[in-house]
Amino acid sequence: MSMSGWIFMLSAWLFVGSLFVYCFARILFGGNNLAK
Amino acid sequence: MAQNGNGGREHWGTRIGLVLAMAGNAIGIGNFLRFPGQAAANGGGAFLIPYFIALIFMAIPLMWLEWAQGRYGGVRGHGTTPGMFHLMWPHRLSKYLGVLGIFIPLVILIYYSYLASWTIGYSIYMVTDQLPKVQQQGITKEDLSALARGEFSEQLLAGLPIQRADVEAFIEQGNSSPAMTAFLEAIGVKSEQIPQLSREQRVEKLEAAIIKEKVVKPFDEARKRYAGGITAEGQPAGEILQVPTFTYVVFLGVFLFSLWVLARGVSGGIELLAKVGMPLLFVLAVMMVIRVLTLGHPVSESLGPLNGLAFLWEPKWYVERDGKEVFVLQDPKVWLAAVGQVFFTLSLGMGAIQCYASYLREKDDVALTGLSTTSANEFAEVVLGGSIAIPAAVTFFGIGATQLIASQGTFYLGFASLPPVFEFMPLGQVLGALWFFLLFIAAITSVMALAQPFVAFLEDEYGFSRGKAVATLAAVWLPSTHLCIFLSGSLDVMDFWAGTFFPPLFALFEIILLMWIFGGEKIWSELLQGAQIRPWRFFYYSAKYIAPLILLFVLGFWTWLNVIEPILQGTALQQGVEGQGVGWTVWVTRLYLIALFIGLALMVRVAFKRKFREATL
Repeated sequence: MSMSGWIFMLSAWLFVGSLFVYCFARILFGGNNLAK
Repeated sequence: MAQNGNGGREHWGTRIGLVLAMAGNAIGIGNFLRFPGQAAANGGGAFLIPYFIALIFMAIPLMWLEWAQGRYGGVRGHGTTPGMFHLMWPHRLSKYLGVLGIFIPLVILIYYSYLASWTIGYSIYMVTDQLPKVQQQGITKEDLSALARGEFSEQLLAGLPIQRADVEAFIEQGNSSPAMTAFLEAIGVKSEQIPQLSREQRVEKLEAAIIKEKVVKPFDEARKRYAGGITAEGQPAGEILQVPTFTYVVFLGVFLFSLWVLARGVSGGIELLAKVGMPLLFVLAVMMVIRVLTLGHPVSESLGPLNGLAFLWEPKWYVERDGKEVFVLQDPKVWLAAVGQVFFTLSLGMGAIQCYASYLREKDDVALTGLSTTSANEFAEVVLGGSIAIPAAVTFFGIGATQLIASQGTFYLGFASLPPVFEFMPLGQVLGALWFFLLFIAAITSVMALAQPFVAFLEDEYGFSRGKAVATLAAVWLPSTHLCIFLSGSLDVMDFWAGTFFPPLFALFEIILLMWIFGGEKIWSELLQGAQIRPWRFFYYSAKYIAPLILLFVLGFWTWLNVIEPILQGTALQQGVEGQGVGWTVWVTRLYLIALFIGLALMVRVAFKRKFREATL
């Protein structure tokens, strides 16, 4: 795979993967109601 | 069953249960089959640019609005959009606009439940070894290896309308005999394009045509037999499909199972199914990804899963349109495909998100919960969905054949092309069964979300018990699906209207109602109530100004492509708006959909009159 292919694939995976991990960590391990 | 004291509406039992149920709503067959096909056909990695722009500027804000609207309506006793729209815009028309929020999921349920039954039917087929075998055609892995080297074995050419002399003259001198020209035209290569093909392209096109004809065709015919499109003797079935008993019985099983889950209620049925099904889906999908990515090079050193990933993800900046090379980001069709995929995958503009969100409590978070379900869907689509079907197909069939397979549509990729791939894998029968079971979980959790709005409508607006509401749904659902099962083209007509046209239109109504009539600040405050993350203000402006423009573009360009262009070209009367012709089966389906919409609108009218009468007594 060319460098641009790797960049596109890994950027997409990193973006959705980190969003997924962040959201589920917040859901599973809590956090307070932030809205005031 | 968790209930509150306000009108007896149910609530979700746990937050993770809600997230999984809502993710189950969004994650469907399309994540694993439609996305890779769309990406491959529309610029590969370059497709991700319009895809993520549509996700960030349109889908995420719209998703949050639907969640906020759902909770707002649910707290006030309305789980479906007629009641929600009326609460937010007390005009006599608003409830009728909201009818679309029951009509769309009900129509999709009618055909999607049948498609869900295909997945479990195919899983049973794999376990019981009912599908054809490539090796019955005399084709072995060695033949595929030879094909990957550009060699055409006797077994591959046997029974084809082309002879070895045609192949040699075509490959070496570029001379296409009438038989070769006709053979290539069957895969979409126009005769005038043939002289311009390089030797490498000639080999690739011929390989693709042979894979399609010799390897995939028996499975495509098996798929058509399963759906009744061709008879057991291989003859076209005509307008009334000849559905095998097995297909019908499996559908009835899926139908009864769905009713059983629905009758158990939101927390006791739908949530429980999601809590079991969604983790299982992710485990199965990860297992399939690992299996595909560790396939190595079973056919040729030049073909492996990495080539498949490269095929999918390398940006192709120019796509071919009508014989011309067009820069991918300047092609409206690529943008339409990207926006459509984002819409379809997140189940936006259907009324299903609002219905599930209506079972939240007033202070429950919707911002983080909504974003979590979006992230789960995107992970399943972009990471897992992109790493199974296409890399597996490329590993065994090569780039040219996979490109052809991907262009033939979702079900061709999943049901006709992957079974032969599994045949060449160790433990392929088990893997094939798991693959179709994975698709079944993805589909059945979406079926629940599509069924719930009609049930909620009957419970909330007519005061029906759960059992009575589910029985009424069954009385509408079962006969309606018979149209899809037995009438040729009926399923596609329903998909065209409920799955493609109405969701963006309904989403446009929603945005105008929420951001411009009800008030952008009011709905944004509703979203922030109880929120565990604070969405950037950027999304507010995006929801108010950018998302409607994107939706207008989609609807306008869609109308151009499907209505105006066919009229100008004079093909509208032959192909019909839906591309399914204008035969009687198409008309029966169209009339049925109109009658269903009118029926639902009348039910909404009666319900509101009753409530008004009760309130004034």
